[in-house]
Amino acid sequence: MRSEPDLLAIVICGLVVALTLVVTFAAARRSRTDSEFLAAGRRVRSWQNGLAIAGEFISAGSFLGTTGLIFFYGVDGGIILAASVVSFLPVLFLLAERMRNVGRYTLADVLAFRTRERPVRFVAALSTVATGGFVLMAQLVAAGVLLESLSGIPFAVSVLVTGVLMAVYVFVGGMLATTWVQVIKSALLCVIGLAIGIAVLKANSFSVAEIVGRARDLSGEDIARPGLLFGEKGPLNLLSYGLTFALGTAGMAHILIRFFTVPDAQTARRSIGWTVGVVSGFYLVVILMGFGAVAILGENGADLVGVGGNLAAPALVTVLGGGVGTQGGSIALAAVAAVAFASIVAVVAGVVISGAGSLAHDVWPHLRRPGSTVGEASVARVCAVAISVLAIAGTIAIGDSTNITFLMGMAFMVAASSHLPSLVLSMTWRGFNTTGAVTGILTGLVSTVVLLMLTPALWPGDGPAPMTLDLPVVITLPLGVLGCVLGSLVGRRSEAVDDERFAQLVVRAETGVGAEAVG
Amino acid sequence: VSRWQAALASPEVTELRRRRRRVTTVLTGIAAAGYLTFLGAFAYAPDAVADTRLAGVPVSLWLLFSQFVLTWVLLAVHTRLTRAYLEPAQRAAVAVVIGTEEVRDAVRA
Repeated sequence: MRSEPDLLAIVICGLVVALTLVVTFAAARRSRTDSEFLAAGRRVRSWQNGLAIAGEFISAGSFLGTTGLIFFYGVDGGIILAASVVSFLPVLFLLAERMRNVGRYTLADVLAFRTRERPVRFVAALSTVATGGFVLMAQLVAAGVLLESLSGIPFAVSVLVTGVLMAVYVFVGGMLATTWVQVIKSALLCVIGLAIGIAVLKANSFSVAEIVGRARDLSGEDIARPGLLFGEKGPLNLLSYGLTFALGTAGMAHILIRFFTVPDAQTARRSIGWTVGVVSGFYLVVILMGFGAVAILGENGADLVGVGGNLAAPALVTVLGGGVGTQGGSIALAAVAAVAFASIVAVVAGVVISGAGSLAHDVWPHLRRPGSTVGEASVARVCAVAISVLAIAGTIAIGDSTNITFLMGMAFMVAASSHLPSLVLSMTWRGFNTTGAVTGILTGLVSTVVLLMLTPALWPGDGPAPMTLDLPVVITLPLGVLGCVLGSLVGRRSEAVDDERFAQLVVRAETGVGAEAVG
Repeated sequence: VSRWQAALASPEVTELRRRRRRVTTVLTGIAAAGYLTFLGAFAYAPDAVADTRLAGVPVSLWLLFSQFVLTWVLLAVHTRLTRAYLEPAQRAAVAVVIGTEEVRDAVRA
């Protein structure tokens, strides 16, 4: 940890913040109606949406933390990167186009299309906000820890600054500002990632074999051997971990609502191509950075990267820039700090607008007094501020020692276990109904929280934890599906299948006829 | 049978759904097989993938990279199939659905 603030890092972070604020206030003029505020008027282009999804998806933890994971655990640390890239295939094959054609602002639009609105929207909002809450807390803890490490800004101040910024982006500029913040972040990632990738390769004669060879010489043969991270708990633990991150993306509300911001299903599909290009390209650089850190930092590397390995990337770029105390090293470190900061604010802004939009669109219309003229955009603004305040207070209260991996894992598990089964079944299974939606979502949510409490990381009792899996999605996902199916079978006694509404859903999902128009 | 059910039962929409189901099933199957093979190799053959090298790089790392390549390839194949196989069927289906007067009125409403 630094004891003195790094002025250069703070200045570069300040420039990034200034740029994003300019964009935010410019977007404010085009964020007045509900559609503009919650879906950017559905005018976002495929490359913008693709970069925005990438910006939403790549967290600071996923490149700083994963570089450290690879540094300590070799190829096992890269599994999450491969899973993350693959995770966009289910989004593309199953959801992207259908979501755009059927939905309006939130996941519940799809789930409630042919079910009773009130219970389904309430449960979907609960699940969306809960998932978002886990992501927010994880990202704000990461913001505090990383900014403190990289720039010397104290933890509480870092959390406060990040939290206030995310509230400002969403309150002022809505989805359009959030989109542009994420586009700027992705562009920064591409530039910095390309520079780091070239620098790592250049330092190793542009040979991946040489990087890995040097890393093996310094760290031992095991760096290329799977099992350092997952070996002790057996194959099922690895399978469950891999499935959590491969399937969770397809249920993440803040990712899926981005498909409502584009004009049509074709643009939604094209967005995924841009996203995969940016995410996979950057994650290849992260793999290079992980092995490169071992190869380049040498025998003293473990001292430089910190206990958790989060400082592996900053230490590596400092050395690549010329070393500690040099101008090049300082600039490189400041650039990484700026990217980390931009990463965090882009992710949290997306999560806040997802949660605020869900409360305003799914819950508020059922609570307001008859005749109320308060629009959903206005309610979403208030909700964004409320969510931000709660997240800032909660994060400062739980402090910097919280295990953010499990908060993120929890979010991915809820997404994979409750949102994904209910979304897919709602668009494909004729017999799916209100009881199935409510039961499925709640089963996925509750089973995730309960089973995670039984894992070694969170087990509060004495003695060994009853659950040996780190992220037991192999149990919670089937439970979520079972909840949907059994709930629907029980519910059909009281709720007849609406064949006309189901036909409308399928035809609209497949053809786009009747989908929400631009504007 | 009402208007949307009539549209759903039309040969064009049925054909579109059949084609999409085929594309989705095959590509999802390939993705799942590739991904589970990767996880399986890491879980059950760690020594083999660590000790065997191709072009000086351990197979374990190639397997990691293979997931990136698999995603790019499936993305490209999906794009190609969508343009050549799904979109013609979709255009035909849209024409039929929009051509149904009652549906057209319902959409306008």
